[in-house]
Amino acid sequence: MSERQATDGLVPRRVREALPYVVLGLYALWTLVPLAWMSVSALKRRGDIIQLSFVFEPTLKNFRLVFFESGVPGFLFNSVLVASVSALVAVFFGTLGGYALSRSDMRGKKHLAFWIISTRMAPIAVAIIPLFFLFTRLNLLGTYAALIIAYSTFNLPFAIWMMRSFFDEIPESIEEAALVDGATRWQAFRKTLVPLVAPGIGATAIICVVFAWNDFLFAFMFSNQDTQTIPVSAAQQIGQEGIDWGIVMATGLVILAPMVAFGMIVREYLVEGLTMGAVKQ
Amino acid sequence: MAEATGTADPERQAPDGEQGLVQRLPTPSLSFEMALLLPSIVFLAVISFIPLFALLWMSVMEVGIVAGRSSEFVGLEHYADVLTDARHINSWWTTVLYVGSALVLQTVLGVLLAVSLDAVDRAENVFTSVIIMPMMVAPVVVGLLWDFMLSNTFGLYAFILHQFGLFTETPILASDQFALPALVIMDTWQWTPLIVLIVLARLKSIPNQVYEAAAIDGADPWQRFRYVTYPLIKPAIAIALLLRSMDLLRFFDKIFITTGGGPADATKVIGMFIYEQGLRYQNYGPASALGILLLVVTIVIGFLFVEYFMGGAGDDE
Repeated sequence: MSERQATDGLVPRRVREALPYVVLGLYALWTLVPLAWMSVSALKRRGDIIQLSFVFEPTLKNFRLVFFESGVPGFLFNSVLVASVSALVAVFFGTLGGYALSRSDMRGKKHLAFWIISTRMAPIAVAIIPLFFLFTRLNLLGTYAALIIAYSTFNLPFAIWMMRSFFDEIPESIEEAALVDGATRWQAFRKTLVPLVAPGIGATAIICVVFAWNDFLFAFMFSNQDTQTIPVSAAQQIGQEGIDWGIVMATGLVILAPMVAFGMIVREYLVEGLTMGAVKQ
Repeated sequence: MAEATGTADPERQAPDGEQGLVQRLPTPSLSFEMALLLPSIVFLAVISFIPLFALLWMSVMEVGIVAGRSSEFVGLEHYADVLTDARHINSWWTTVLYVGSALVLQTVLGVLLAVSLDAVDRAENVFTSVIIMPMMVAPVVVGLLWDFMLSNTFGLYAFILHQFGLFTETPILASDQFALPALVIMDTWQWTPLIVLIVLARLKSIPNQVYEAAAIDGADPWQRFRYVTYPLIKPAIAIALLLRSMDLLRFFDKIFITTGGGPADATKVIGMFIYEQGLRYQNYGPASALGILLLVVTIVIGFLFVEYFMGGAGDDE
């Protein structure tokens, strides 16, 4: 009796059970309205955008312009290239480094780990000025290499930490067994451990791609007309007089759609990834 | 098992461990791990120390950008400037206001949503999938999208606000009073889901018996949240706060795209300010000094973050 009263409290039970759904529904709406409006606007002619029409004749004109009559396909290629190469580099060295950090029992390991992750914490504005000089000095401005190096400054420390937390979950007895069977340390790592953390490697790679793909400021500073990534080109569309929002929204959708899809694929690793391994789902 | 205790305690030079250590050192294990880690260490050292020293050097010099003029040592003058000059102080305040209000708003919303997600039996997956979408969107696109939503001529949200007689004269992003709140809302739209996920992960790990016990003790829902749930999710909230504050200080893409720091410095957070001073006006000295100070702030936050879950937070696991 007392338990019933306590759980029911002052608010009727039905209202209380509906409340979370109301909260979530409203928030989902708040999340979706801009995205939906973006998608709708990408299908509108200029006149329909200006009039904020809800009823209009959809057109693929903006997408046609984006894909066939602008530099976007080239920028898309640049983005794919730079994001995937930087992710591959980060994950390769991150897997080696993460394993080493997980298994090493050297002194000062904690400090080393903190230093590694601290290289990722530098505010973009702080990193960008000296990197700009460094790249100017090395004649790297405007090259893919500059962007890949710039992205490695945040992806490599991230990958090391992520992979370290995945290796931490694997008991050492597993590689000890491989060593007893006569494998070298490298073989035990390569043949026994790496396959076990393969899903983690995949998730880390995808999150690295998202970080690099979504970057704007590094690409804005370090790329040129030929190596420009797609977020930079999207930003430049509004610098001009008489912005054609239909095209901007279409470009925006091209940028966000693959990343939202990636987000869904790695959803169970997302918290771990975005908290650098501090929170596990 | 000795391994496990060894890694848990960094200060493991206990007298009885001495012997084990001496025996272990010559084994190839240490060098194998260092060999794997070395390429990353070298890269990160180059990419972090060279810029750091360059930044430190520039922060105490008057860098001669005009040909023929050499750089001059000015000591801590730039630091004094960035801590006393009115525009700089304004920028620090803008940053505090931006970061502080975003943190409060996102934390309150994030906890509310996480508790709601934890409470529903159906459609949790659908709601989560929808809510996390903005996190994956490039900040530039978020900026462009909100610029569009708030545009006085085309914007859906501006249109709705106009119906209530709001912002009919000045567009929100051009208002020196409301541009900053609008940016806070943009960031909240994008990053509240991170707090939701962090807090939700913690909520899921709380066994049901805890709530049942509280219910038997006669706690009403608010009391249960206040005295049972809240203390248990506090570490998660701390992690979320530290992470979000680092990122809020770190990125300024959305501000860059939508307001560029304006109108009249109203949204010029430190990151934006450094970028503008350093790369647009070539004021390397003040920009570098400001950069060093911002770096110190983020590293301290980062240190707290790492300490929190590498050491301190472990005791209630």
